[in-house]
Order: sequence, then structure tokens, then C-alpha cells
Amino acid sequence: MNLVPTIANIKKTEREGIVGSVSFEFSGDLNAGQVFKIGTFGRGETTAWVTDSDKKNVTVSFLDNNAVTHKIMLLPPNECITIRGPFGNGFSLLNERNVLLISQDDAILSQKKLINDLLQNGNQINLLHFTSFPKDIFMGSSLNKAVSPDSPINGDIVDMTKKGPQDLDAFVKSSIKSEYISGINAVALAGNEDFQQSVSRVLEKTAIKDKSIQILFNRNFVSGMGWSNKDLYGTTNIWKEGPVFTLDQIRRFPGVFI
Amino acid sequence: MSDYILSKAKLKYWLEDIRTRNELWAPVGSKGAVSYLKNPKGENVATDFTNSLDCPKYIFCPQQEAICNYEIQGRGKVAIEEIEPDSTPRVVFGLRPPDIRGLEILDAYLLKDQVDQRYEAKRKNTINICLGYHNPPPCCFAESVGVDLFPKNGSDILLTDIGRSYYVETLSEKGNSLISEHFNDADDIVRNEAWDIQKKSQGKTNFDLNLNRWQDFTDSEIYTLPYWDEIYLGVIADSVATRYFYSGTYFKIVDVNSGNKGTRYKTWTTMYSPDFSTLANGYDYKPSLKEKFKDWILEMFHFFPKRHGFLGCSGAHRCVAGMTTKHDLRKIISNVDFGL
Repeated sequence: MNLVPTIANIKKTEREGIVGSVSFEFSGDLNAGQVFKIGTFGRGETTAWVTDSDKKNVTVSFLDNNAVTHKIMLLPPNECITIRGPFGNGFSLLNERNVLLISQDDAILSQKKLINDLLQNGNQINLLHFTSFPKDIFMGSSLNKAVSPDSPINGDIVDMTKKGPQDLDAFVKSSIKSEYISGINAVALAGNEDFQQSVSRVLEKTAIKDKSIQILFNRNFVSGMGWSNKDLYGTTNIWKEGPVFTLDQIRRFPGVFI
Repeated sequence: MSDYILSKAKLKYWLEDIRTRNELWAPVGSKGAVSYLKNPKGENVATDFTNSLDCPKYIFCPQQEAICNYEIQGRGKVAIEEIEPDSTPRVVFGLRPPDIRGLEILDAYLLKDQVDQRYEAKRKNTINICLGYHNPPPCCFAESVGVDLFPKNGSDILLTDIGRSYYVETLSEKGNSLISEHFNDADDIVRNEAWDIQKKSQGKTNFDLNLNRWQDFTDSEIYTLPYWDEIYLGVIADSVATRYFYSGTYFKIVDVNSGNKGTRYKTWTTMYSPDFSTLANGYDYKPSLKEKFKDWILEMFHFFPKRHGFLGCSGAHRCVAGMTTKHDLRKIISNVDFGL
């Protein structure tokens, strides 16, 4: 693997709350759930999710919470950034008729492109977004539009601050109502691992097959190399074979995921 | 394969010869504190040590390795100068058998799925000279993890200390290329003497780790043993640890710049680093020392062997002798409580 980055010129930067986005030229097919390592010389690299793309351009998004992202967000159009990637397999749900998307907080970044792709493809979408920051929802404007009554998406934004003393499993179970699950062929799930576990416990009691539940194993991709122990989950290299796995595959991972 | 005899008195001259044509790395220091240094004088090279302080992975995979230089030339303009992989002819003298295994472990990480071109170039252009383990320290458990004390694979030349001389076995073409006028052909007397020493050394480091018990359990069963909840107590998050081990390392990219110029480096650091398992949103999927320590042990003794067919531990005892904890890895592994 050649670690020398390529240079891209920024087309546009955008910010919504703590989420920053940057667009640059890139030709090639991309999936939701794939990442680029983007950076600026002098600061290093950070991970950014593919949130939009056409044949010539790609938009990637990230949490603007470190020195690299702060610097990128200050750069004007045409300024240079470094890129490596794309990495990972991404979600592949376009052939499924009725799809349920479940995300938590910033994990929506990995699903934004999926929502657009599914809508363009004519799939029926149910969407549940769990937020810990109801006053400052990640990608709030897009999400509010997506779950509005005039949207083709059947969805809801769940306020996790209302969880109270009940455990996460019980809260998630009560939040995933039957109307969101009935008739669903496939699920895309993204969030922290404890959240993924809780959702999976609910889904395993439904008629949805494990093979049809795609989970983004949202592990930090610091190196972009896949050489570290941290990229491994048992015998599986997250960044070689993932990061999107089916629940069926994840059940074989050692540990207490399910 | 050929065999020779090299007088210990001539060793320094041989090393000096090597140094004139290659970049020589060799152990320097006294018994307790030996490190591999670049181009030491032949007379300063240590041969009577049991193990180096740090594992010599830094010779092949330096902790900071430059990837490219850059210069920001103005708005929208950056010049990148790629730093080519280092293909300097290199000879590493005096690697001990656990470190030969260590290189095989690094090969598995860096040459199998995603090839690290810089590491690959160094490996291809390096001749390894192994100093057989006739004097393993008491806490060494190399043979327990499948390391041969006089390995015929993994190095280019194997030296066996037979008193006043070394019995020299060349194990590859690269090894043959280093044979010079300082060597004499070995005869049967020398051969028998060396083989006798090699035979007598067998079993000195064979501590029973009870690893055969692990085969009866699934990944999840091993991963969730209550034993791991207790065994980590007392472990110190030792950031120096990464210098002792071939596994337990992770890589990241850092930039070092001055003005509008700088260099991008690949670096490795320890699994105990604060950001090892923390996501961009602050979520830590291995929040406690317990998980990190357990993952490290299971990686070496369970998952690495499943992926690559041999243990991910070199048995060099650096963890026993050097870590700032009272833990003895041999006992941790051999005493795993499966609740039977």
C-alpha cells in the first residue's frame, strides 16, 4: 500500500452544526458507508464518510472536532487537501424492496448517501434516527425534511434523552414500533456498538433474516492501512472485509455482541 | 547450504568488511542493556547477550518512517516529493531466534493483506544473521511458542557458538554472499560439536503453556471467560510496551512541518494510547484496560494463529523481564481458567 496521498482541490465546504462537509473531484463508483482519509499537510489525516457523489465529484462529511477538521473547514475553495481511499465495502441494499434504516447520532453520516441512493432507485424507506442531542441533531435539516409528512420516507427521530432510567434495550425496543418493521426486507444499522447490540436484539425477534441486516462496524480507522491490531475483530480484519457486515457474520465474531 | 567455521577473533574483521559494503546493524552494549545500533565498529559488537532490550523491529519498521516531503507553494498548489522505499543493502547481525520469529510475525501483518512497501523493501534488501540460542535466559519461553533455538528458516546465516569459534551455516544465497576469506570450511569434528550444542540446548525454554486446551473452545467462549475479568488487575498501561512486542501495535499518520515545508510520517505506537479505540464522536469501544489487555493476549495466542498458522508471540520474555507489571505472561496463559 502506497501511503502517499493524492491532492484534491476543494470545490465547496459546508457546515451544519458540528458536521463539516467538503466536496472535491473524484471519479469512480462509491457506496454509503465507505470512507476517505482526508487531511491537510501540517495537520495530518482524519476519517470522512462518503455522503454524496456523482460521476465526477464526491462530498465527504465528518465531525468538525479536531485540529485536522478545523483546518479543513477554514480552507477556501480551490485550496488543496490530501486524500487517500476510498476504503471499505459500504452498504449494498439497492436490490431490496423495503428497507429500514436505523442510525444513531453522527452515524447518520454513513447513511446519508444511502438514503439518496434508495430514493432515486425507488425503494420504500423507513427511517429511524436516534439522537442524543435533540436540540442539535446531526444533519438535522436533512433529517427533519426526510421524516416530514410530505416526504416519501416513513420515519421518525427518536429523542434518546427521554430514555430515562430504563436500560437501552428496553428503550430501543419501545422505540422500534411494528409499523417500521412490517414488510421490511432489509435493514441498514449504524451507531455505537452498544446501540447496535440493542437494536440487533430487537431485530432478531422479527421475521427479518440475519443475512438481510447490514451493520456498519463503526471502528476508528486511524491508520487507513489495516495493519493494526485495532483493525481486527478476532480473525476478521474490519477494514479488509468490512466495515459493513451482516448480522449473520457478526454473530461469528467473538465476544458479546449479541 | 554450506557450513564453515569462523574464529571469534576474526569476527570483528568480518563485521568491518560487511560494514564497508552494507549498512550494518548489530547489538551493542553490556549484558543487561543491549540494543541494535547502525554501523557500530566491529570490536564493539556484543555477542554474549541473551536478548536485546527492545525488539529490533525498528530496523525494518522504524517508529517514524517518512512517506513524503511536501511544500505548500501557494493557494491551491502543493508539491509532493515521494520518499522512495529504502533499498540500502543491509545486514543485521546477531538476531536472536525469538526475533527471527518476530520478523515472521511482522511479515504476517505487513506483507500479507496490505503490503507495506517500505517494510517490504527493507526485508528484501536485508541479510539476517542469527545468533543461535545456546544461552537462553531462565524466563525465556521461546520453544513453548514454537521457536527453534537454532532456526534453519527465517535467517540467511546461523551462527552456533562453539567456544573459541562459531559454526556458521549459510541458509540462503544471500547468506552465501557474505562468506569471505575469514571463514574456513567446517569439518566433521566441528559439525558434531555444534550439533551437540544445538541438541543440548533443546528443551531449555520449553515451558508448558497448556495451549492444547484452547482448541476445545469456540472464539466466543474463550473471549468471554470470567478469567479475563480478573487477570488484568495490576496491569499498568505501559506506553513503552510497544517497543517490547511485535503485536499490540497500531499505526497512524503524522505530519511534522516547519514553515511551508514538512514531512509526512507513518508512525507506530502502543495499544495503550488514549486514542487507540476512541471513535471521532468520543465513543470508546475498548474502554477499559481489561479489554485492551485481553485483546492483546488473545490476538497473540488465539486469533493470530488462526489467521496465520503460528503463534503471534516470539517468546522473547521481554514482557516478563521488561514490562512494568508483575504479570508473567507464561503463567497467565498456562493458567487460563476454562471453568472445567
